[in-house]
Amino acid sequence: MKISARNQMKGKVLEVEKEGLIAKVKIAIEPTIITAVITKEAADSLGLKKDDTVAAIVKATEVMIGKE
Amino acid sequence: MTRTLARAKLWLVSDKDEPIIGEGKAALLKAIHDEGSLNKACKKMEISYKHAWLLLKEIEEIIGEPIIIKKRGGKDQGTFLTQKSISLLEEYNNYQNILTETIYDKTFWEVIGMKISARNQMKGKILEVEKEGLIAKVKIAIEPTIITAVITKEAADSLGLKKDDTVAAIVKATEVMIGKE
Repeated sequence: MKISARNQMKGKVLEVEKEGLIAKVKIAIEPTIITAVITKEAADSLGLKKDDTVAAIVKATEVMIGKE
Repeated sequence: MTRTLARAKLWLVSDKDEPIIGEGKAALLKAIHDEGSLNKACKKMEISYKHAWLLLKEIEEIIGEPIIIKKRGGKDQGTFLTQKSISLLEEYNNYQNILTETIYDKTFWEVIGMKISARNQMKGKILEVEKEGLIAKVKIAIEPTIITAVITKEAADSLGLKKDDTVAAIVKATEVMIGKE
């Protein structure tokens, strides 16, 4: 499936922390680490685990810019 | 370095800059409103009846009209606020809320101080800023990838964004979707 979201960063899952309804996923996208918060349901349905190759996807409208 | 906190004092003034009410008088008015009695209000505030009277007189002098009504005897007896003092109290509370939302809101301060709760803050250089209508599309080089941000033209202008600027692309963790083959 092709996705419209402009920002698709490939990386590796460092850890998946699940609690209650939520899963917090840390993805290593050299040289940085991206944190994603998704439903536990989604994490389970994708079978997300450490070392998985995934893409972190963000819509352009969800990117804020910070400048000193 | 220990974190410093901010505190602010609020008081309403007349158009001649004479102080009308601050925290103390507002609390007294509220106590009278809640208790329906000046005596009970004084007990609540732990001030003397005389002191309360002086405070109320001070307010009345500045605004030029009565701020309390006394009803003696019968089942409706007690001390009540006039319409004027009720709206005064409301105005005070409105301003107090605005203060609370800004000065006391830690998140606001964190944004001002460039410390943001958002977990994802990627530093990069602006490749291009494309503006059209109300929108600005900003491409940011964050090695080895390029991030596209869509913000209002107003925001882009206010930050003075242009090619080669060093910026951070900030994304809340809840806004990151995961794709897996």
